[in-house]
Amino acid sequence: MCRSGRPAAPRRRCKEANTIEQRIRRKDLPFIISLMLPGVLIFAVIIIIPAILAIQYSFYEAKGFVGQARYVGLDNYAALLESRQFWNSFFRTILYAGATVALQLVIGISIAMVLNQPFKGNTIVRGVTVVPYIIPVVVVTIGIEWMIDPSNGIINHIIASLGMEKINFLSPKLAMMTSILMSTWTWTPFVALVFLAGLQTVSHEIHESAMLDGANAWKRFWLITLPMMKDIIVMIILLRGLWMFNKFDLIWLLTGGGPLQKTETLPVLIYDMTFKQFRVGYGSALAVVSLIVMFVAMSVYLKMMKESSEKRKFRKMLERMRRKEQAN
Amino acid sequence: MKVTWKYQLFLYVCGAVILIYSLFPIYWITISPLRGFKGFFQDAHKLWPTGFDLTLFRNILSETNYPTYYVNSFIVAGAATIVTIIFGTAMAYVLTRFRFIGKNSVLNLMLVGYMLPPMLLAIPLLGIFIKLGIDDTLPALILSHMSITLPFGVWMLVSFFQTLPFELEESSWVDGASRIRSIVQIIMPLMLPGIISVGVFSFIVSFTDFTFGLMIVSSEANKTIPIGLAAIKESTSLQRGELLAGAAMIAVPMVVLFSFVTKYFVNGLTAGAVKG
Repeated sequence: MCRSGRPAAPRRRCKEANTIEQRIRRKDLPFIISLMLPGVLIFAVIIIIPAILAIQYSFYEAKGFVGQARYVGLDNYAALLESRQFWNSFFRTILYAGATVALQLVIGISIAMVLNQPFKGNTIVRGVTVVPYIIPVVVVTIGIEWMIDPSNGIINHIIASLGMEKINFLSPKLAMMTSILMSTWTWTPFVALVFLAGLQTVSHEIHESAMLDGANAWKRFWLITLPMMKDIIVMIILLRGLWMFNKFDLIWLLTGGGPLQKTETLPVLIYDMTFKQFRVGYGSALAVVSLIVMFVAMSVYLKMMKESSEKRKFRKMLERMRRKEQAN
Repeated sequence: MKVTWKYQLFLYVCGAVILIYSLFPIYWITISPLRGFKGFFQDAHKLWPTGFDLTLFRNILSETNYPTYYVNSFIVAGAATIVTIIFGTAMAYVLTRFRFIGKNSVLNLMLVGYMLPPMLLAIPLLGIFIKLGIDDTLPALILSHMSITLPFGVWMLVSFFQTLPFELEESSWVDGASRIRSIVQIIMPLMLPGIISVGVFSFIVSFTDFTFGLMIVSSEANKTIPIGLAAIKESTSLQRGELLAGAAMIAVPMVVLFSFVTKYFVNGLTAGAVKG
C-alpha cells in the first residue's frame, strides 16, 4: 500500500503502514461486514449497476425512460460512427479539454510558483486562490455573462474606453474561446494547489547548490523544478483532461451548445439526445464513448507511470554498479 | 537565500494580481446588484461600489421560490455529507486496517468510480430512480451526489488513515478496551482532520452540483439553488439585476463560510489527488 501514501510521508511511514494491516480473524468478521456492507451496497447501487446499465441501454432503442425498449445490437454505435454531428462534437471536446488543460497548467503552475515563495499575506492569497473552484458554476456563468455583456458589460466598457470596438464574446466565432477561458478560470485552482503541494516536497538544497553553480531562476525552473514535478504534471493532465472532457455544466449554462452548435461538446450532445430528444439508447451509446475515452487515457497513464518507475529502478541499479566499481 | 526588496516587491505585485484575478468576478457579482434598479445599468462602467440598495435582493426573494431552493440545497448537501462521512469512514477503516484478498481492487474500483463520466451514471440512475418511484425527490438527488463523494471520500480517507499511529489502538486492547471503544475514544480524535476534509469536500460538491440535479429533479419544490437559479435565468420574467442578486446571495456566504475551512479543503484536495 506504499503506492497510495502521500509523497510528504517519508519512506519510514510506508513501512509502518504495513504493520497497521491485520490479518482478518473469524471473530472480527461480523464487525468488518457491518462496517463494509452499507457502503458497498450504496456503491453498487449508484455506481456499479448504473455503469453496467448504461452499457446495456446502449444496445437498445427506447423513446424515453418509461415504456418498451427494442434490442438493436450495435445499431446505435453504427449510427454514431456515421454521424457527422458526433465526430464534430468529439473533436470539439478534445479541443476544449486540451486547450483548457494547457491554460490551466500554465496559469496554475505560475500561481503555485508565486505561492511557494515566502511573503506576508501568503496564506490569505492561498485561500483566495481556491475561490473560483468552489463557487457554483451557475454563479460563475451569471456573473461572467454580465461582465462580458456586449452593451453594458465592464469588459466591453474597458475595451470601449481604450478606443476599440465592443466585442460580442458569445458570437459563433468567439463562443468556444469564451467557454475555454471561463473554464480555465474556474478550474485552475486545482492545478495550482496540487502543484504547490508537490513543490513543497522538493528540498531547498538542490536549488541552493544550483544557485551556487550560477543557474538563474528561469533555468532552475526548467532544469530542476519541472523535471522533478514530471509525475505530478502527468497526473494533473490525466485528471483534469478527463474531467474537462466530461464537463457539462459550464458550456450548457453559458451557451447551451450554441450558437450554431459551435460549442456543442460530447456531454452537451449526450444531454440533448437523452433528455431533450429522448433517444435514451443513442445517448447511452454516446456516454459509453466517453467511458472508452476514460479507459484509454487511464491505461496510457498507467503504462507511462510503469515505464518511469522502471527507468528509475534502472538508473538506481546503474548507480549502484558505478559505486561498486569505484569501491574496487 | 538573500531576499532583496525588489524581489519582495515583485512577490507582492504577483500576490495582488492573483487576488484580483481570483476575486474580481465575485466582487463584480456582489456590487452590481447593490446599485439598485437605476444604478445597475447607469453605473455599469464604474469599477467601485456606487450604492447600497437591496431592492433587487428583496425582489428575487419574494418573486421566486429562492428561499425554498436555499433550504433544499442545505438539506441535500448536509445529508450527502453526513452519509458520506459515516459510510466512507467505516469502509476506509476496514480498508486501512485489515489485509484481505481483493483489497487493492476495491481501492482501484473506488478510483475508477470517481473518474466515471457523470453523464454515463446520470442516465441509468434516472432509470433506476423511476423504477424505484423516487425520481424527482431529494433522497434521489442525495444518492446521485454520493456517486461522486463516496468513492472520493473513501479514497481520501484511506490515504489519511495510513499515516495514523494505529499501534495506539493495539495498546489500548492490552489495557482491556473493546475494539469499538478504542476506535471511538482513541482513533476517532486522530481521524477527525481527515473526516472534516472529506466533509467539506462532500458539502461543496453536493452544494454546487448542477449536472445531476438538472436530470433528476424537475418540480419547483425540490430544486436546489444551482438548478433553481438556472431555471430563473432561462425564464425571462426577471431582469438581469435580480439574477445577479441571486448569484451574490450564494457567492458571498460561500466565500465567507469557506474561509474558515480552507485548510481542510486544500488538505483533502491534495491528499486525494497527489499519490506517490
